Amino acid sequence: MSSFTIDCLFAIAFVLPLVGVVLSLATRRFSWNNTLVQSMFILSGFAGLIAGSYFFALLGIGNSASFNGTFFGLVNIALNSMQVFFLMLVYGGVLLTSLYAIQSLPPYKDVYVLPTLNVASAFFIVGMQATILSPSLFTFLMAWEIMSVSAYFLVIADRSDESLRAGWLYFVMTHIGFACIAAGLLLLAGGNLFASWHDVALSALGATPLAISIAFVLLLAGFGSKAGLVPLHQWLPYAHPQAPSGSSALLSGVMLKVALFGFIQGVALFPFVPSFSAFLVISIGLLSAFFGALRAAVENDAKRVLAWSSIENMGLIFSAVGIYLLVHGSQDSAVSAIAPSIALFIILHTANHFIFKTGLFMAVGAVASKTHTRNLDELGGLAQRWPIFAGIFLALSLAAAALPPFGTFFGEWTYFQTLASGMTVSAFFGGSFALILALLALVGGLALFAYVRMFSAIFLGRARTTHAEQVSPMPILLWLPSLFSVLLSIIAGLFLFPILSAPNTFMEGVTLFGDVAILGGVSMNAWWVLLSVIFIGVLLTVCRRSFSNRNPARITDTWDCGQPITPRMQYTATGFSAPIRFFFKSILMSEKELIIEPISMSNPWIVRRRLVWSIKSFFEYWLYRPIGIAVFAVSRAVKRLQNGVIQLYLLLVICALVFTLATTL
Amino acid sequence: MLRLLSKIITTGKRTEKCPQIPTYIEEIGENLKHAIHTLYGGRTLRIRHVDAGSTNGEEYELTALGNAFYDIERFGISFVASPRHADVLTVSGPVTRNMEHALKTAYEMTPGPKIVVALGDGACTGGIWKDSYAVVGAVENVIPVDARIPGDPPTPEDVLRGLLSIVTATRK
Amino acid sequence: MTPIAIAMTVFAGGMFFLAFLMSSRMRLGSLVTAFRVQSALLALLAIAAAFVTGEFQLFIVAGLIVLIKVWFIPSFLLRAARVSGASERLQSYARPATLSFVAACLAIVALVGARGLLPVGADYFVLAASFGIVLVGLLMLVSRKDMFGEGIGFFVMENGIFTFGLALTHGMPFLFEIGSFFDLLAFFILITVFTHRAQDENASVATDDLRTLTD
Repeated sequence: MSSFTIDCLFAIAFVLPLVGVVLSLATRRFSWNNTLVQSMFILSGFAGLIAGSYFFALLGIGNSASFNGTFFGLVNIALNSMQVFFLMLVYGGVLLTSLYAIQSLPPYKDVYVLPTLNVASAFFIVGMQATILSPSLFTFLMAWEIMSVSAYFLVIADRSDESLRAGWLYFVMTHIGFACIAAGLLLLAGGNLFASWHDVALSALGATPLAISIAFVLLLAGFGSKAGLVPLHQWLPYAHPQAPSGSSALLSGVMLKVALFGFIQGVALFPFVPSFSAFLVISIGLLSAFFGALRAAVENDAKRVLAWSSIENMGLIFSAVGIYLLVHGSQDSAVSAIAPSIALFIILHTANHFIFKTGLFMAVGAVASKTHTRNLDELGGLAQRWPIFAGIFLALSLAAAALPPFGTFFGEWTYFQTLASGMTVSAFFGGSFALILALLALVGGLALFAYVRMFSAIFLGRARTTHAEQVSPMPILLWLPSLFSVLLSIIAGLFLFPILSAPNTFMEGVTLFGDVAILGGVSMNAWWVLLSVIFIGVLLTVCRRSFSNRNPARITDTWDCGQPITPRMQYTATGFSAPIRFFFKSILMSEKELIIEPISMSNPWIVRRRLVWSIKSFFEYWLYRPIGIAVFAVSRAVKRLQNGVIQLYLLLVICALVFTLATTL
Repeated sequence: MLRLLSKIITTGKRTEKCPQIPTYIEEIGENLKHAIHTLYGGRTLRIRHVDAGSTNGEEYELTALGNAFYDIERFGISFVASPRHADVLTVSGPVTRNMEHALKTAYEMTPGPKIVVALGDGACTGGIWKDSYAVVGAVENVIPVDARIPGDPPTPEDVLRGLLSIVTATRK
Repeated sequence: MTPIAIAMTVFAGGMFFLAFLMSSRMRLGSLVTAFRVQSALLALLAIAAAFVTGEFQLFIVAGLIVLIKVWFIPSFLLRAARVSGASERLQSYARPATLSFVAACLAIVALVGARGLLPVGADYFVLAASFGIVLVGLLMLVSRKDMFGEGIGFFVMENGIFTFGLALTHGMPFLFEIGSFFDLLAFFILITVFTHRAQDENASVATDDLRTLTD
């Protein structure tokens, strides 16, 4: 498998979505339009995955792997392992979601205009690939814009009021982020818009420390906003639920990773990182993780829960990036030994989060498409209708909660273990890592709570409304991609974990089945864990069968104290999260209002009672609202200049002109 | 404050002397405790009471059994709320037509082995409401009855003796 | 200085003097006549520049200036004013005397500003004159209350920019000049349309009436 083939395959993977655009528009009258376009995307994903695999097979996984592609001689692109890794995530996501979209989109053909939706998806895919492949600053910014704007069209696809509002918020915030990114990168490049990354790194060597600091903050703000870091995350919980499910999966599973890639690539250009940067990134990451987990535990819209969970996981990854910035390149060898394990966690968790989040979004989308509701308080009892699908969803929830034998467990174990081992390095590290560990424990607990709540509200118990009761069997392509995600998650734990921890030696085959050792000599073997889980499961089943009561049991109805049992009597998702809401009341700012309206004139005791419960968004209330009020106040003050007299406006223009001339001459 | 203190000092003890507690309570109680212990190996006998339309006299007497005078719980008997937890179902009152279904359901829900006790004249035979249009009659018209404790209402002593005889009979 | 240089200085100075006059004139007819003469002087300036640099295209440009700025625009402006029935008397925010004073100050500013760019010489005077014309044109834009006055102010500023181009580079590239002509034409069309509408709607061309359009 030569490098020319790899080149061709990458080029094919890049071009096929564009072919899909043309085909989508050309065949839009036919009913097989959607299937055709999705097949194009699937082929593109396949080609890319094969190309990536051959890349790694040919050149190894270490940092020094690089590859010069020419895309049929048109462009000159150099690829390194990190780029190919993130590209693999993109292609994997495209493959899974396009497979899903073949059967998930047709029921919605009255809501979405399918051909144009697929055009937007195609540009989104191309944009993501181009962002990762970009060799220079200008192409990066252009590709980023393409990606962001096509994502906007995906968000507003169903043209409802909610989608339009969410799309507007996303549009504004993504462009603020774009401005920050462009400003930061241009600061580094010294104003040269058409510099290649190499040139940018060179000119960054000559930048002043102040410029470096400003550039870092700008890059963090821009990429962080796209990745969903608090406090610039505001668009994420509104935008991700509104897009069609396959696109939500791509937005949440892949686009956030592309933002992470952009941030890492940007930071790699810095000759040195400012001293405050590590702490800034760590604190923002941990804050996002905590806030995301908390909100995920109390939201009622299933997709919004997943969106907040994405924020939580990206916060985790960024906190690890911060720790990496802190320990990397330190003079003390004990300190810098922490870095490889942290890097392992970052890569593992990126891949794992992509796997389970894509699977979960597709699964929730399947549920929503069959029951026509995303509200956790309206679902229930679906495990009786779809037992296999419930099993898949359970597996994905376990993966999301980082439980073995799924891959997320191994990633998070690496992180926790590295922090624990690193505590002994110095008192400073001991104190801060202990704090971080405590916060991570809180985040992990809240995340587990959130997923237990989501799974049980959707699948366990009985259906709470008729929506969830009368459901038809699910078409295979709606749950098959989620099943693939489950399998991928297990495979990630078994194979990715050993391979990535020792990238230069994996070809020898030894480490694939052996223990994986990280900092401090502590090791974990993924196969043992999987086998133990299977063994314990088998053991429990056998014991239960053999030691259980041999007496025949009589089965009767549930004792209902004489009242008829209704599904409304079971826990709702809202009720289940009540203790969390109560404990974090000041952060969640939840309000309960009991509105009592008398109905009858003659009898004041006959009333209608209504309970209204709401959660205010913390950052919207404390950060965005004051900024908005200030901006409006300033605009109102400036508006007094707008008195309608044209000559005044002209005078202002002239003054501006004169001022500019005076300052430049 | 001073007034309160002086009142405390000038008012003496107002509690009454404990009346003579009849000896039969202890006697029956000890036997009951021994019987239950050997029957259940240390677990308490759990009673679930179903009021199938009584005058509440039987309920008063059962409540009295739980007060400090009789204190039935020290003998290993407790009252439970759910039929699922019950060993003994005590039913009082002639079964009214409205409660017939509920009584049947409670009987169904009680896991075996169970003992059904008809408490009071109304439950045993229908009492003065027998043949009324509003009642079904004695409890045995609705569910199978294992034991009867007659009386209108039966005194606590009667109830205790009745329970003792039921438990010793079950042991055999 | 060569005769051509003297000629250019005279033309430019004449243009500025006319601009200075126009700043305080309140009668449409006199404004238009002054604009015609100024444009004629601009054409002569272009011809002089053509002789200096030897570029043939400047002759064409001079011809275009005569065609458009001396004949076409002024006459159609007058016709538009007559057809729409607007009053001949123009209005401004300040007294004519004040406007003249401000224009004189602007002349000083222009001289100082041009001094910063070039040493004293023929080119320097032309440059200073062009700065002055632009500034006076802007003054007219800001101080006039009606659309015709503003239109003329814009045209004067355009003249000044042209002169600036002639002074600094002895003629801007041909394409730019064509472009600026089209720009002028567009503005002219807009002005006529607007004055027509304004006259119809509000029975006057005073821009004060446009204030009702604000919030």
